[in-house]
Amino acid sequence: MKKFDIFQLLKILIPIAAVFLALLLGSVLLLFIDVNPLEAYRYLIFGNFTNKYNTAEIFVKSTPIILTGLAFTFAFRTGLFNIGGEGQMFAGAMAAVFVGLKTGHLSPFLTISLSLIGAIIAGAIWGLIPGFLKGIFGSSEIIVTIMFNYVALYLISYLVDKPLRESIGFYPQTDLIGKNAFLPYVVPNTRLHIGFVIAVIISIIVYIILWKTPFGYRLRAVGFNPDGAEYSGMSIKKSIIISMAISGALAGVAGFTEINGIHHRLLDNFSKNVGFDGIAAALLGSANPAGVVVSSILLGMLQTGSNSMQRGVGVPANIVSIIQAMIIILVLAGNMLRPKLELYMRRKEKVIE
Amino acid sequence: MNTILRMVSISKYFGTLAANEDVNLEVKKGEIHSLLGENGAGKSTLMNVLYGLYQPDKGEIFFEDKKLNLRSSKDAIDLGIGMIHQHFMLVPVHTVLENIIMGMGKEKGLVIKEEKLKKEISEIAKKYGMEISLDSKVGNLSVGQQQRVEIVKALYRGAKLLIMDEPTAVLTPQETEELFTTLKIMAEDGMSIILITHKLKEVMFVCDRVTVLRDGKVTKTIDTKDTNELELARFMIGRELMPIERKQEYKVGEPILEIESLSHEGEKGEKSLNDISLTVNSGEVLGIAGVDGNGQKELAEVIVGLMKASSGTILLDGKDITENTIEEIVKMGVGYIPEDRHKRGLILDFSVSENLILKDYYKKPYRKTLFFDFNVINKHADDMISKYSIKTPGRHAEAKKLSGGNQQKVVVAREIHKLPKLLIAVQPTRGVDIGATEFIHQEIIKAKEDGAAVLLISTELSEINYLSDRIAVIYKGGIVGEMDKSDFDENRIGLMMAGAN
Repeated sequence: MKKFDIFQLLKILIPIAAVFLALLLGSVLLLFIDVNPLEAYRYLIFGNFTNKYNTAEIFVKSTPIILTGLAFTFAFRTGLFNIGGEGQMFAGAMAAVFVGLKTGHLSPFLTISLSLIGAIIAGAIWGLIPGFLKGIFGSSEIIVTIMFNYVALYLISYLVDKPLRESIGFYPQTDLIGKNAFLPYVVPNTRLHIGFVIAVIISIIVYIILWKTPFGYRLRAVGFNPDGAEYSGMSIKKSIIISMAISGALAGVAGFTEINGIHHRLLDNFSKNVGFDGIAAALLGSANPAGVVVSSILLGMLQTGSNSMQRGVGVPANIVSIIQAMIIILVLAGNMLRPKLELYMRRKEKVIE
Repeated sequence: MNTILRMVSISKYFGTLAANEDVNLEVKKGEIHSLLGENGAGKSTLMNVLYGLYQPDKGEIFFEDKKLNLRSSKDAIDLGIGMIHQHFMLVPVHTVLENIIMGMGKEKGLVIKEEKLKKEISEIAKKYGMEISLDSKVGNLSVGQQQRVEIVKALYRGAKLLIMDEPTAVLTPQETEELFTTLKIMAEDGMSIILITHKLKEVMFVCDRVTVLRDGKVTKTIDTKDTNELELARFMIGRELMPIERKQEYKVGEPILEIESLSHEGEKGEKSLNDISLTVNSGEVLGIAGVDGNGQKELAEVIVGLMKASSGTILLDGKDITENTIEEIVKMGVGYIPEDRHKRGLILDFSVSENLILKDYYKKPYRKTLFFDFNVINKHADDMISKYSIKTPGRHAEAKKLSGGNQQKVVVAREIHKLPKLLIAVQPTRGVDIGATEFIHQEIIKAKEDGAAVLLISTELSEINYLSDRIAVIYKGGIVGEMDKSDFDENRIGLMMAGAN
């Protein structure tokens, strides 16, 4: 059994090693611009924890990343690449704002629930369309979801510019949604709202659906081996469409938490790149719901820390984007090398015997 | 006769697995030497070591009394060691001539001296009684002809020792016979040939000596004239072969599967099934013999609903299922052991226990309301593993970690244990070791005796002969003949497999 554990450990060790290696490579960049990497990283990592507000920001930032990460994970586990988490999140946000504007006067429980449902439906539709095109016509879900990101992005631009522009008509943004639709805060005097808790609960639900139910079994079977799934009487088309809809719905919830929890209105370019950060979190977390939560928090930490690093040593916050990109490349490289590493370790064992 | 090749105590490890351990192999000049063993016994590893594709962890190779230190297959080829793989390494869109000279350096320069090369190659071919047309495109040749191209290619490169990996797997009996004639001429001419195989009949028929491998070790090297098939089987699997138990009395029942003038067209409109009519009754095995690629796969897939028939009807138990989907047909109780267990039969990344419920995952008792009942699933898996003696590290091991034979047992267990009305078995023992083959044959017979109608589709004539009550032969998508088991005649079936009637 001990041997088994080593290989399990490798799964976790690779992302950790990737993070450290990426920080190491990032320090070379910092040296180029004459910054002491140790000092910069001190701000990056510990700058967050100076006060309650900043610490809470980590979880605020990671909330939508968890959800878009789960969206990618769900599709990935069922054999699909959903690169459209961003657009699906926007779709969810549009629905959440619309519901929040119209039903903001109802009781909090009611209006929040309706916003959530609206976001789920909108995100699901945004995922369903590429899923449908893939299932019926075989068009690449990667390309269609990417293009759907732009459709959602420009749809928002249009909405906040014209039909939903705020009543005073000054900025391209909507009015604030009703106070009752605001997500309650879990820690006073911070922006940390209940959305984080919702995201963690959803990650558990995703795990249960995928691994503990016949429904998830079918979706995963289609993902691993469509031919084998077809042979055993499962409908591949149906599975693809359902998977994409669920994946989209998960990302849609990110739109809901961002609108009802943070911005309280729809504005151009809000929460940009969160959809892609979700993909990063999913890859870093080995497409595993628990891993997604942990890596989302890590990414949230880097992103909030980058601001304090900018303030502290004057390093552009963008350097974190570079580090984040390197983490992903290194994780992927590590996963490519894993079979070789395992083989090497097994060979060693032989010698020890 | 003097020795051309000596491999001395070769060991090769993959991780903790000893693929070869202390293997000695000696091949004489002008000898056809068989390397016999089950799948996974280490035959291919040993040959890959000889061909320079693997470096041995221990041991030495002497070729023509010189110690070898092979670093790549090119070294081996230069020394005169040729290898013909199971899957041919030819370029289909090139001509035979182009394929033969490819990679020899003769195609360099501005002009290929075609006439001179053609003359040289034709001479070699003629010498060993092989006819090949050098200007044909390889893609248009039959499998047997392609194999000849491979042999000529090896000879033209000056091979003194030819390794052939399961050469008869893809041939009709007639083509096999032609091949063996060629091999015998080559041996008489002083060539040495290593024939990798697991078919005992071939060993006895064509080889001079045989080295038997089991679990990576040599169990015996013996002259074929001093041994027999039964003894070789014992060396190979380490125990006696058990004859299949058959009930003396069992009754053939009602027709279960009735196929009436069934046709199927491929994507380009070519007819892959042409006007097929067959009936399989409860309690009997109908064997479909034929060379690979003559519509066997299509026949099975059209019946189970994976492909759509273009015309004709299929009745299951009297009900028309021609238009039904696979989902519906699976639910009607049709068991199907597909040709390709990796592509169709298993989800390789799923565990053994998950694979065992692949067709019943949504049914009770595996499901409690919305969730799986893992107690039931695990117990089912353990039952199956012991009942069908599936060798696995455990029920949670991924299917891809199992050996081919045990993977196939998982498929067979899943398809047979529910007592299907109709069992379709396509190549049920392809790439499976003798022990598992024996077991799977026994299970098919049992299913039949329990009243299943069995449609057995196989390219192995011996398997067809062994299991079937009636035999039909398929050629180019059509049934060219049907006969009772009592009329089994290998020659006649062989001719039918090649299209003669």
